[in-house]
Amino acid sequence: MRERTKRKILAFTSATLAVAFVASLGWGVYQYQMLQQYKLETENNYQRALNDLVTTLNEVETSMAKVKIANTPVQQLLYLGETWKGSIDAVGNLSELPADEVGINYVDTLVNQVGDFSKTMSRKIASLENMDSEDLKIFNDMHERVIETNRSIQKLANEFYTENLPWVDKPPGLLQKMGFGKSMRASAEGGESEGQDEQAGQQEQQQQGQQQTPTSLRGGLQQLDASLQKYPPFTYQGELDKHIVAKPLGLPDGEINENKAVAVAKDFLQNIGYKEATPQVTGLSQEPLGGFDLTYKDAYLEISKKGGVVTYFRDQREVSDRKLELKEALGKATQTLAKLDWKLDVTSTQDFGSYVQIELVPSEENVRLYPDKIRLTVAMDNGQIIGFDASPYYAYHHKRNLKPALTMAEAKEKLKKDFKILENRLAVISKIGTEEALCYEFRGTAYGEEYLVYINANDGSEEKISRVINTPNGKLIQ
Amino acid sequence: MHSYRNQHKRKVTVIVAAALIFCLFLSAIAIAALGDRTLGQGSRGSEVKDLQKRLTQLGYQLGKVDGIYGEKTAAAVTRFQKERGLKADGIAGKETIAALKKLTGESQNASGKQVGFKNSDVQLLAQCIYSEGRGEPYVGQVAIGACVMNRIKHPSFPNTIAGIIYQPGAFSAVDDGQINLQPDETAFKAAREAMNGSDPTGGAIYYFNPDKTSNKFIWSRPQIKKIGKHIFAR
Repeated sequence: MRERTKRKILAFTSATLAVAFVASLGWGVYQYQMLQQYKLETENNYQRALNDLVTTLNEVETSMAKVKIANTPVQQLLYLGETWKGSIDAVGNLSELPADEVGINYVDTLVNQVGDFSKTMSRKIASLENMDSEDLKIFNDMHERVIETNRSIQKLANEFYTENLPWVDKPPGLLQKMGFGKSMRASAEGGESEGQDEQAGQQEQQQQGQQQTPTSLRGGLQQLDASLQKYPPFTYQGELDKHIVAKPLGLPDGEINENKAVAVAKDFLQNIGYKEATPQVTGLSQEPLGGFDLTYKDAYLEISKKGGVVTYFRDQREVSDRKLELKEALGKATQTLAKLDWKLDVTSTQDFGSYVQIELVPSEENVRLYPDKIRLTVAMDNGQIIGFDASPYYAYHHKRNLKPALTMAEAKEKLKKDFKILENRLAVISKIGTEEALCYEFRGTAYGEEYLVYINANDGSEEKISRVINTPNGKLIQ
Repeated sequence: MHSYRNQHKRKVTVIVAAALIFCLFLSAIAIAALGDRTLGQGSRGSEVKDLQKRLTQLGYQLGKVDGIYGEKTAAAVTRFQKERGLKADGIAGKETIAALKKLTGESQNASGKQVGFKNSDVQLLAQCIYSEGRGEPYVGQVAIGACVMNRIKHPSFPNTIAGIIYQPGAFSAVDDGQINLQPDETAFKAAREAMNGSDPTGGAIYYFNPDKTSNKFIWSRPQIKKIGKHIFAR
């Protein structure tokens, strides 16, 4: 009897184990298949990006060659346009490849700059100017480098297909991770611990820079990128990389020390509504518009070392229930600004409920200075200014020549006849880079749309067109 | 015979009428639109789902969009009402729903024609800020958004917000999937402020947590300042 029970238990246990084994095997196979499926889908995307990149870059190179010989604006504009568009596509493709973030910086930069420069040249030619000898030299240099990059990428793609390289180098196996056996990667990392992939990538790049055959596409891209680093950077006038102004134009003279920074912050906070504030310097910053970072309660301020002015302020306090209407809040903000010695015109407001974002610009001789704008955030519980960003003002404000050569009537002549003008004034607007233009600004409607059209007040050319739409939060200028 | 037929007729009429009422009831549920009735805790259905979707779109976290008006939804409605200066009772009445509909509506051109939503990137930038910088001070969150915006203008990076955020290896929160967390209201605010051009970093394009990275490249970048736990660099 006992023997039978035992046997029964044994049979039952082994049957259960067998079923469990088969089930887990099935599960494993299914998971493996799923993994393969996902891998295939991901790699298909990479494949497409790589092929597109090779094709587009080749087209960019060809168009650039054609720009050089074209001698009429029509053909020049056509091929510059192709270069510009192709560059944008190529940058998109590059960003989809499994390279390290910093792995393809130089390729990215080169292609982006080619596009940017082509755009600048298109504008130049469209306003009936010619590419001068300096422009042509930059363009030729860019072309040379694009030829080389194009060849390298084609070579890499070719190697990738013929030698069946993987997209990325194999990560270390489980055994190697546990410390058994030495993988190529582990030795390259020089004994670095886990979780420092980025650093590993760097060292991998160096190592592969020495070896000449890449072991993966990622490695190959890094190699290619490293080979471009030997070239000097381009200097040209374009739209990219103007987010920092190396030399601010609007900061007052003189340098201040820490004590003075505290005094400036205290004064500012006092005017904004914090009596007896005791701000403290909590950090130093290395930027042309900064110097001292200060905090007081939830407020954060940046005071410039040169000139000693508040360039950025943000109060991070909780904003309680909305009690004000937009108009009241604007009124209160204007009063506070007056206390701070600012006289500005509101150019746009965005209402987000508990707070509003406002943009304001100064005027000089009745000319609006759009580059010198100030951004405000106003709390809707009590109308206090909780955000103040004057960095554009201090970056761009300077003495300008504000005498127009054209009269308003002459500028009006340049507009389309269907355009119904609602408002007009003189204004300075920013162009490419740090360039600016004195323009007549016309706000008006046509074809059911609202527009802002800017006519250059010196040469009468159409500088810029903006479209105005009504979003749920306020007017938006596109 | 006669009475039987009458009886039969009545039966048919009753059945047809019942079916009709049932159909009407069903269609009333199916086509019930947000704003038809006041919603409050305990309400259910497609209208509640619509309400939840719109609140989430504005950045009010309320958990899952499930069509059930629970405590979290009521709390989100209350927060919305407070921020809009409405009566803060957590009940979605006519006024609240009208305000919500207006704010989540499309943009219009001068002649009133709908021209689509114009803030589609705010959501993605808020996701990036939330997944990379939740727990950081508000200015630190704006700073993360500003880094993304600065990269758009920088030649070494892709030219769109999505291109920058999804560039392989660019953000750790994208690699580990945290980017898909639903951002909170603070992250949305920070995203709007950064997209509007505000930049507390002074032109940074990189940031890192000095306690967590030993990446030589990132340490070699010229540092600008420290906000919260992050060092910002160019």
